[in-house]
Amino acid sequence: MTPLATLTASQKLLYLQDLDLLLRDALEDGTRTLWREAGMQVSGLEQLQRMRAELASSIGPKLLELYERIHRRHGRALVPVRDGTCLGCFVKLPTGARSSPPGTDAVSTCASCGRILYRV
Amino acid sequence: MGCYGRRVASRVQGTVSGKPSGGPLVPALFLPDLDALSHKEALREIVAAARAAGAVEAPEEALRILLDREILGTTAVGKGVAIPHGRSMVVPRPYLAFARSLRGVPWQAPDDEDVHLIFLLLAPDTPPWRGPYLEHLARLAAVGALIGNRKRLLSAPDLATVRAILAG
Repeated sequence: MTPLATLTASQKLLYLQDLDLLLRDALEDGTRTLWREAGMQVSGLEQLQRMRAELASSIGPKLLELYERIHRRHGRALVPVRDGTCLGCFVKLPTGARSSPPGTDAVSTCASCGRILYRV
Repeated sequence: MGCYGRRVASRVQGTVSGKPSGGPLVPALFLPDLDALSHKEALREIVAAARAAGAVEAPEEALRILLDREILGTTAVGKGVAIPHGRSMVVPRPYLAFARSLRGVPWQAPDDEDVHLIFLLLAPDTPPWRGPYLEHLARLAAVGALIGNRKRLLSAPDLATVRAILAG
């Protein structure tokens, strides 16, 4: 797996969002019941929470605050960009503002909905 | 695609598919006999095959969410079956792969049996997909719980047969 230190800011935010989703599932009764009925036990919650904390601490405070704020507001802070369209609000993005440049630490947000844009 | 990806692709049956919602999810990929000797290798091998088939755009991220799910708790459910799964923004539509290991893969199963049958499920992270995702998981667990299904899956010769077994 890619070491944390080599991830760009956008990649870290994506990882954070994926971990948050998994943790939310792990704490949600319906999912836990389904897992248990299928024969799967949840035993590593604390380890995942530690991973989440380590990841969050590796993200700059301003960017983390932006992620948390959008996450609280929309439930999904990062959204993919496909064909020049923000898949959070489905507004066509102006050329040049369609996503963060790949391989850089810059992140960009959708001017319409404010979500962080991510090129898959 | 690296040489590993090409080697995997040469013995994989299937292409990109998957229903957007409702009804059982049709497996898009069948790997009849994995080389993997551990559950991590198995996940890596299946994701590489899915990428080679053009189904996974972000294989590193897909592998990561599957491995993180295993940290939460093993997805082996006993009787030689594992159902690794995960959701992410990088997955545009639900995706199911079926893989088999004839020698068996250690997977920390509750009954300590090695895993021979692997259903790998990936799904988008958006709310409308959550219900179908959980339904697919439940369905796969039910399929794997039946000894008749397991026997047929262990000897299934091709993707069409696997799909017929899953269709019930």
